[in-house]
This record gives sequence, C-alpha cells and structure tokens, in this order.
Amino acid sequence: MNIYEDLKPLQSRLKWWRILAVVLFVGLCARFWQLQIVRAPTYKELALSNHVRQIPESAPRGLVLDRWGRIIVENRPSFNLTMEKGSWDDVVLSELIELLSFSDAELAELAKERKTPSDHSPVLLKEDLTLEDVALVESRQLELPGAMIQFVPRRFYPFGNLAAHALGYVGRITEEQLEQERFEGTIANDYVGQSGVELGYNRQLMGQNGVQVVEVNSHGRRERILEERTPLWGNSVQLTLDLDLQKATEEAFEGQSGAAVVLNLRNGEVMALASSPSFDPNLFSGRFKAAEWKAVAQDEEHRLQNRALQGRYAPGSVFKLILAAAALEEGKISPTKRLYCGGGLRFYGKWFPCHSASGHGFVNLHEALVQSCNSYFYQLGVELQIEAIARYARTFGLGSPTGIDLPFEVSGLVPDPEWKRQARQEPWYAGETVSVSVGQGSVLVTAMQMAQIAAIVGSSGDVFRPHVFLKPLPAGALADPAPTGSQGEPIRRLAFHDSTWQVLQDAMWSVVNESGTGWRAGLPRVGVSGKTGTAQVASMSNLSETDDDDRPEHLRNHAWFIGYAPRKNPELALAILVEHGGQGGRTAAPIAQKIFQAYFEGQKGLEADDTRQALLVRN
Amino acid sequence: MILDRRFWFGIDWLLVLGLALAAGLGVAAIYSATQGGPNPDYYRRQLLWIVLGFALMLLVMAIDYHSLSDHAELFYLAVAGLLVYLLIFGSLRAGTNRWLELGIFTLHSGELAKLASVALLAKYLAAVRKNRLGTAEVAITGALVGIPVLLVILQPDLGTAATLAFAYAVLCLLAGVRGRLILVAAVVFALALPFGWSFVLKDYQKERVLAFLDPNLDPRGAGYQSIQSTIAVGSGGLTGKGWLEGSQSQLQFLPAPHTDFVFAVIGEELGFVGVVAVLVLYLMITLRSLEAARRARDRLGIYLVAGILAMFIFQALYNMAMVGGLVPIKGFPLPLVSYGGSSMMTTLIGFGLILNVRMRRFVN
Repeated sequence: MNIYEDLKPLQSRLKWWRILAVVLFVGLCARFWQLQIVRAPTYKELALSNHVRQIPESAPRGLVLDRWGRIIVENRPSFNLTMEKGSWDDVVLSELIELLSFSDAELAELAKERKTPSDHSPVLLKEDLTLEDVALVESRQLELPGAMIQFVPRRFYPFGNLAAHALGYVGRITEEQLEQERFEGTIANDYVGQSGVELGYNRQLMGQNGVQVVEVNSHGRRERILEERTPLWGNSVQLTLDLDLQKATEEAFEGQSGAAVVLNLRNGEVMALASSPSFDPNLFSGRFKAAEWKAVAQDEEHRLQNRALQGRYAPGSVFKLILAAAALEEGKISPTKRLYCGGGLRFYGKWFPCHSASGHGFVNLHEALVQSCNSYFYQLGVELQIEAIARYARTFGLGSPTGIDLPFEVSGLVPDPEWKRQARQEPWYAGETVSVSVGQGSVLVTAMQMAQIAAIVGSSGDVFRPHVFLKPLPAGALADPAPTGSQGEPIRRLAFHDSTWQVLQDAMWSVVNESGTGWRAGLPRVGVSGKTGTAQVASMSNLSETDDDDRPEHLRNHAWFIGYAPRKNPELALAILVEHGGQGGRTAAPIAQKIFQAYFEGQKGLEADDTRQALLVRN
Repeated sequence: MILDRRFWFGIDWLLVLGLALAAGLGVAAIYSATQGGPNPDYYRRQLLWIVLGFALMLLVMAIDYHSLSDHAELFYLAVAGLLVYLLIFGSLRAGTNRWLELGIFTLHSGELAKLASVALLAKYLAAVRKNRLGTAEVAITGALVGIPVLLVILQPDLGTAATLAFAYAVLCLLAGVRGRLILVAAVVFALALPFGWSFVLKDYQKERVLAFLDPNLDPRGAGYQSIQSTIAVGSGGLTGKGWLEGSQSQLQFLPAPHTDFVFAVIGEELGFVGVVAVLVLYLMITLRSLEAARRARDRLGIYLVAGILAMFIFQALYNMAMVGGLVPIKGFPLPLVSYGGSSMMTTLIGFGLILNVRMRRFVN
C-alpha cells in the first residue's frame, strides 16, 4: 500500500469542491439574511398573531333606576360560545353543532358571521348558552381546541314590557352607527342603545370594555395572561319615571292602543310615558332571536313605535283651548258674548256640522268649551284668521318637538298658507281655516305636545322642557328617592292675561266636574280639570260622532283627553290618546281618572325604603 | 496506540472543536425545544449519544483506515442482509421499517447503509488507478450503491437514498468521468423524474413538494410546517428572542423542533447571529475535512473523506435550506445538532475516519 500514487488530478478537483462549499454556505447566509433581517418585521408580526390573542371583555352597562331608586334596567350574566379565527377548525365546529342544539336561525347567522372580513375578534357561534351547555363544552375543552366560553353581561329588563318605549332597548352597533358622532369611542360588536333612554343616554350608560391579552399555544390553549384591562361598569342613570304610576298607566289602557304622557307640571319631569301595545325589550338583548325580533318589528300594531312621541294625530276639540286663548288675547271676543249654534254652519257654500244636530243655541265661551260646541269655534276661527291661529298654536309648543330627552320625537304640523304653498304648491282655502278651528284638517300633534298644553294651562303659562333624566349616578352608587313636585325653572312663559288663563281653567274644571264631556275623569277628592277631544279618522262629512260606534274599528275616531290636577296648585298634567277610541270623554277620560287616582290616592313613595334595602343587597 | 504521543499529535483539534461546539449547541437547542413537551429529558440522552459518539470516534481513529477497509465487503454484505431482513420482518415505526430494535436503543439502518456503502465505494474506486473512470467502472460502482439505495427506497427512506446517490455522484466526479457520461446521467435523471413522481413518491411526499411550491395552497395541512418554520426563523431577527424564549418553538407551532427543525429553534431564539455561527461552524468542519482529503496520502483516504463529507454536507445543507424554506420538507436531521442517537454516532464515526485519514497522511 505504500506505493507512490499520483494524486494531483484528484487534489486539483478537490479545490473546486472547496470553492463550491464556500459558495453554498454564503448562499445560505444570504437567504437567512433575507428572512431574518429584511423580512423580520413581517415575520415578527406573523409570530405575534400566531400566539397572542386579544379577548374582549364586555363592560356591563349602567343601571337605570326609577325616581324612587328602584332598578328598572340591569344586567344578567350570560355565556357565549366563540371560536378564534386564528384557530378556526371546521371539525371542531361540526362537533359543537352536534353537541349543542343549534336552531336554523343560529346556523344561518353563523354562516353570515363567517363571511365577514377577518379581524382578530373571535367569531360568535352561539349566544346565551344554558348552564348545561356551558358544562358540556367546558368538560371537553381538550377535544374542542379553539372553542371558547365567553362571559358576557346581558341587558335585562326585569319588568319586561313595562315602560319599554321610554327605556328603549340595546342592540349590536350597526355599520352606520359606528360612523356617527353619538357613538364615538365604540367599536364593532359593541352593544349600544337603539332607542329610548338606552339610546338617549347611551354615553352615560356604556362602560369601558376590558381586554385580556393571552398567549396561546398551537392548539389554541391559553398558556398565560400577558396583559389584562378589567372592564369598567357604565354609570347609572336615575329617571323621573315613577314605576307605580307607569304601571297604573299601562294597565289603564286594558289592551287598547294609544299613548299616555304624565308630566310633573311644576318642573317638566315625565312621571309616566306609555305607548300601547308594548313589547319586551329583552328580546333585543340577544342576537339570534331573529324570528321573534322580526315579529315585533314588523307586526301590524307597530309595537316598536313610540306613539307618545312619534304618533301624529289631529288634536280634535282640545285645539279649542288654543282658539279660546287666541281670541281672548287678540281681543276678538269677550267671555260673555254669546254666539248662536243651530247644529252647524254654512261657510263658503259648505256645511260644517256641530256634534249636536239640534244645536247648542246661544252659548258663551265657557259654555262653548264645556259643551265643545263646534259652531262657536268655527266663527271664532274665521274671525281670527289662520295666521293668528297658527301663531298661537306654535306659542303652545305645537309644530315643533318639545325637546324631551328621548330620541326620535316628531314635530307634528301647524298648517298655514305658507306651509301649504311649499308642501303642496296650492293656495290656502278659507274652508280649511274652519276645519282647523276645531282641531281637524291638516293640524297634527303628538301626545307629548298635548301633555305640555295641559301643563301650560294648569300652570298659567309656564313651559318646561319635558325630561325623563333625573340625575347621573356613579357606577354602583345608591340612589336617593327623589321627592316629587319641586319647583323648576321654566324655559319660557306664555305672558297671557290672568283672565285668559282663568277662563281656560274654569272651562276645563267644568268639563270634568260640571256635567261636561269629561266627567268620567272626575275624582271629587282630587279635583281634576280637563278637556276631551275626538280626532277624525274618516273625512269631514262624517264629523257627527253619533254614528262613530257603528263604524269598523279602524275608521273610528281617535279619542283624546288632556287634563291636570288638583285645581289649585296643580301637580300633575297628562294627555291620553286612545286610537280608534271614539269619543274622548268615553274612552280616554276613564284612563286619566285611573292615573290620577293611582298618583293621588296610591301608595306613592312608600316602597322607596324597601327598594334602597334591595339595592344594598344587590351591590 | 492511543497512548502513543504521536497519536494525539496527529489529531486535527480544530475539526474536533468544531464538532464538539456544533454538538453542544445542539444540546442547548434540544433542551429549549423540549421543555414544554412530553420529553424534557431528551437533552440528557443527547449528551449520552455525544459521549458514546466521541468514544466510538476515538476507537475508529485508533485503527488504521487501511485495516478497516480490509473488512469493507463484509460490513457491506452484513448491512445489505440487515436491510433485507428489516424489509421482511422489521417493525413498522412512524410508517417505515427502517429501525432496528436493539433493546433500549433503536438503530436507524439507513445510517449503517451509508457508512458501509461509502466504505466499499472508496475501496473499489481506490483500486482503479486511473485518472478517469471507464463506463464499466461507473456501472459497477453504480450497482454497488444501487443495491442499498433500492433497499432503503423500499423502506421507504428517500432521504437516505438521495444522500447515498449524492455521495456516489460526488465520488464519481472526483474520480473523473467523461463529459458524455455526465450528459447521459443528466438525461436519465430528467427522464426518471416523472417516473419517480408517479411510482416512487407517496401521496404525502407529493403533497410536500406541492406545498413547497406554494405553501399557502394548504396552510393548515402540508404547507403548515414550512410556513411555521419560516415564521420562526424570520421572527428571530438579528439577535433572536433569547434562549427558551421563542414563541414558535415553545408554544408548539414549530413541528419537530428538536429533530428536523432544530435549526429553526436556533434561528428563532438566537437570531441571525446564531444562524451565522452555525453556518461558520459547518463551513469550518467542511474546510478542515477537505484539507484532510487534500493531504491524504492515497486515493483510499481521499475517497473515504470525500464520500463521508459529501453525505454530511448534503444533509446539513438540505436541512438548513429546508428550514429556510428553499426546498421541500424532507425528514433530514441536521447532523451533529438534531436529536437522535443513530445520526450522532454514525456522523462521529464518519469524522473518526476523516481524522484517521489525516493522522496517517505520512507514510509510516
């Protein structure tokens, strides 16, 4: 083996291998330079989203309390089933669908949810799990990687339908709402108020969402918490509403549709606000109860509509109060002057009837108001002219929102030639003035405005901005019962002559207490004053109310009653509307009576101490 | 002889240092990769393999490689017999029957096949005392390598087969072949590709190749390993996330972090600095080994070193390129660093031979 070998050719080939080896290693170096230096930021982010998850923790909304400190809106614990987009697993999903019963609506919602563009928030699979379902999923955590049970506080309305329109409801924020200034600071998937106090005071009620930043392994199992920000409760809101009075108000409707607004006459506090029929706002706290939601939203009775703020009706004879005030202030009539009613009058070739076919004979202003004589006010209206009527109607707050602190209030309509030219491109016909004089024709009002008219007359001209908000409360604080009747500062005053108010107040007293149209509202020990009204649904030629009962219900007239009590130093003003209730005196006045009775003869405020105790326990 | 002063004098200590450093780095990476898993004590077993490996290396160095080469045929036949035996009676493990159960230790038969084949190949080529191989010699050596290659393909262990084929090609080129023959080989290889795709590659292997071409085709399936590996390495940045701090490695996003993807653990936790350190170590080992080949006193020495080094480089480069997302996923360990007794011991035995050749470069 020791023979000399010529190794030169082999050794020279080895040189090339050496160069090749160096080149290859340098090439690898370049590749890792590219990965680790040039593209490092991208990969660092990818690694981060691989193992770091942000789990949002919803903040409970603040409580809503009535004026006595009773909780009307709270939160209840609930559990959602979610899955991270980052650890999405179709096999696990189908196992979950098999394990828990999913409704068709839930499956449809789920399919929709999965199509939404990917962010890092977990996908909601099923909402509001039963405790059995929670236990079922938790016990199989290892077999169901990626599935997560999330604790979520859910809005709860313990009284169900009660005051639903005033309180409103919550729902997941919509795309449009995300853009609005009102919802500044909210993020997608937040639950926000969608109507009522929930919407109007959303900012106060909303808490601050927390977040849990956790590290997960490749199976989606949480390894440790990297960072945690606990959710902050929203502030509580105490309302002016009196739960007892609200209950009495809603019960008084006995299934009839309509609206009621009960105001504190001395400061504009809303004591009760009802719209009938009502709905259960609890239905809206979940997202998957789509079928029930739609049933409520689209039902023929328009339950979701707040008739007290959004329903527009002709004021009917209630409008005569405004005519009377206008005529007196303008000096068009003396309270003692008598005008003749022969069962109606002919104006411009057209017959305008009165309720009494045989006529009221010669009546003065007081009698005309008490007996609600149309003929008298036809003549007054023609004398005043439409411009003056419109001016006084606006003075009383008609034609514009009252400014109540609840969303979606409508203006109603005070017609005049200017409006008609713009809206209909037609001139004003003199006959329209005659109709408007008795609160028919184009004039439209809301129950809210009508309650304010009652309050203005009762207080001899004080105008308050109606409100349901009493005061804010820090989260978790106890509420003090708020006594009623403290004198507030009016936003404006109607500076009429005292004699004018006297005429109106005397007439309203007689309407209820001296065999007038509103006697059914009477409570001798309280002293109720009021005015009835009947808003026409059918056309003018059917003005006579006598045959109203024979009509099919949807053609029957709407019934109004507005009033206040007591006579001296009044406290409470209200307006009642009963849709298709026929004569105001017959259907609306009894409801008013029950409300006044509940307030003045009820157990007002006595339960407050008990409620404070209950609050202490809860917190 | 081990007691002889000249024995210690002839050792290439720089090469030994490189081997020891690489193996030590491996232990650290394995320790980090297994802490969260079910086998946190793997680093200790790896240490044992290293100690055993160096002992075997010393043993191999003590005996002149010429004497060892005398038994090459016997070794070759024994290993071929073992491969056949395993094919028929072998226990399936991880879908292959490449493992020989030896009590507590299971030996990877492919590793033995590589050593045996290269030893016989070197011995045959050394006997051809020409500066260029004839067609007959190419064919005979091809058959010598072809038998174990076929047997390991049947296991199936394409990685070992490819490593052997690469070593064969390197040795042929080193021994010298006609240009025409290289051309013919290239054409045959090109023609064999579609055949191999259809008949040799299993479905999972095809998936791996497709996933390599576009990892995002199936990011949760075949492309997953490749994606997670590049994320791990890329997110390491210049200096890494720190030892035991790599999120990809520690939270089980990285597949096989202590074996095939151990280099990704180094890339993530020690960053580009760590990667370059490993590359420099491997380059040093390569250059020192080439130096041993250059200074070898005969053809047998040159071929032995070149064959062993070719297999080592092939595996190391492929593994690193795989971690870097440059080539399809293939279950290659990174020699010296990845966890595994068979690979560690055969690699160190191989380097024992390389050191052996260098020590005996002077004619006694």
